[in-house]
Amino acid sequence: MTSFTYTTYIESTPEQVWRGLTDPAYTVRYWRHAKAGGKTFPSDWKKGSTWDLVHADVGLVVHDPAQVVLESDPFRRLAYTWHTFTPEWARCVGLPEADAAAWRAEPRSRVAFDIEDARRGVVRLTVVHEGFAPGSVVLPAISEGWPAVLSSLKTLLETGTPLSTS
Amino acid sequence: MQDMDAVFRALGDPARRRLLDRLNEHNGLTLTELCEGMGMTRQSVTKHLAVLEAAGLVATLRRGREKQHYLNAAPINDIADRWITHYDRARAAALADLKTALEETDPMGTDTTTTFVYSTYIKATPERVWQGLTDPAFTTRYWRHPSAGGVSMSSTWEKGATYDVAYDNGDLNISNPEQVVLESDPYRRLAYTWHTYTPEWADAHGVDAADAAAWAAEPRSKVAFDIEETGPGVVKLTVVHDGFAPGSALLSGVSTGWPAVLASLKTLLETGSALPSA
Repeated sequence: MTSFTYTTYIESTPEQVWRGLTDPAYTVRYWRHAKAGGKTFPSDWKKGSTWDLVHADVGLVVHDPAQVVLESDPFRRLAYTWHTFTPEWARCVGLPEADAAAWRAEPRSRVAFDIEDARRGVVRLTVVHEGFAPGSVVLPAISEGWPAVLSSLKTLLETGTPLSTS
Repeated sequence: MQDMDAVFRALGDPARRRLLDRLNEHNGLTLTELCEGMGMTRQSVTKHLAVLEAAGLVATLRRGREKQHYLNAAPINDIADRWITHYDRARAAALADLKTALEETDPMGTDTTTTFVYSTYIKATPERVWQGLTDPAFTTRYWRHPSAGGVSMSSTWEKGATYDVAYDNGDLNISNPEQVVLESDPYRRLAYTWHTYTPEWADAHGVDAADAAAWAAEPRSKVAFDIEETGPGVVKLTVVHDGFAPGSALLSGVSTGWPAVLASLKTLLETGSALPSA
């Protein structure tokens, strides 16, 4: 296994789902870390542009020119390279620096979101996070994270409130 | 046996032969991938693929965002048997090897998966999620098929008990002593063997009888549901559907079906209505 794939169906529109994935007003509410709080991803989301990872609650900004938007087809497909596991990031999320060093040594992964009309009123969102080497230690971690994040996005878009964090 | 004329016509075009070469190099390409470097419009490639499919040289499988195209060497081998055997036995042997190699190659690449695993987080109590999985009043609302209608399973849901499956539309009821509850720990864990693919089931679902027969011939799979409270009012539901043989045709179908069913269960439990149906 060198990739993680997850599909869900959301009663929403492609525009809303795209907004959910990119708009800080949305991401900060459902894309949260227990210690570091809500995330935003400042970017213009154009192909070739960079993106930052920001956890405002703890004053963390992860900036790296290698964090790049690979594809951007608004409301249909978005792909970008994953963020760097900086020492500051590791501290904020509670990951021991030895582990963070191992994560940093791996090839940079990338994620792609496909947003499709499944049927009237229902959007199918498929997330493929790939580019991991066999034996990756990052892969199990993101495999655990995505279902929780995407479930909370679905609940936010369908009910107006995200899932409460544990 | 394919229509030999259709096969020769399909092979008689250089662009179509180039598409077959591409699939021979790398099987399972999407339309987008096949268009790359072909120097023709997407529309043209689509037309060529349609001719190849009609001739039985290419098969498609919908998996994820786009259909994937697979080379079927059988018609080429038939040509080899019919035309080349008479002229060159050695070449026939090579093509037969290609056919065997292509048939044995897992079209999914090196995927030896025999298990489907999926987790979702639902704002609901464990009791409600258990009810959602077992009570016909719930299952008929979210666990639906376009032609067969909503699913109801009847059982005492005790370990060792059997369960029957019925569908809204028509009198279809699937009863089999091998449909058994393997584990039952109410509101926390439920596991049962998968249902039987009878000809009547195939009919009600618009599934080809031959496909259903192939699925029925596979070892009986099993599914397990784990319900875990992860936070105030939030449950993590993990579904593990396994027991498939490597290369199972059924695994692909259930892997596509579960996310849709579970998404609708989640919406039903969180909003009071299931996802809009097809």
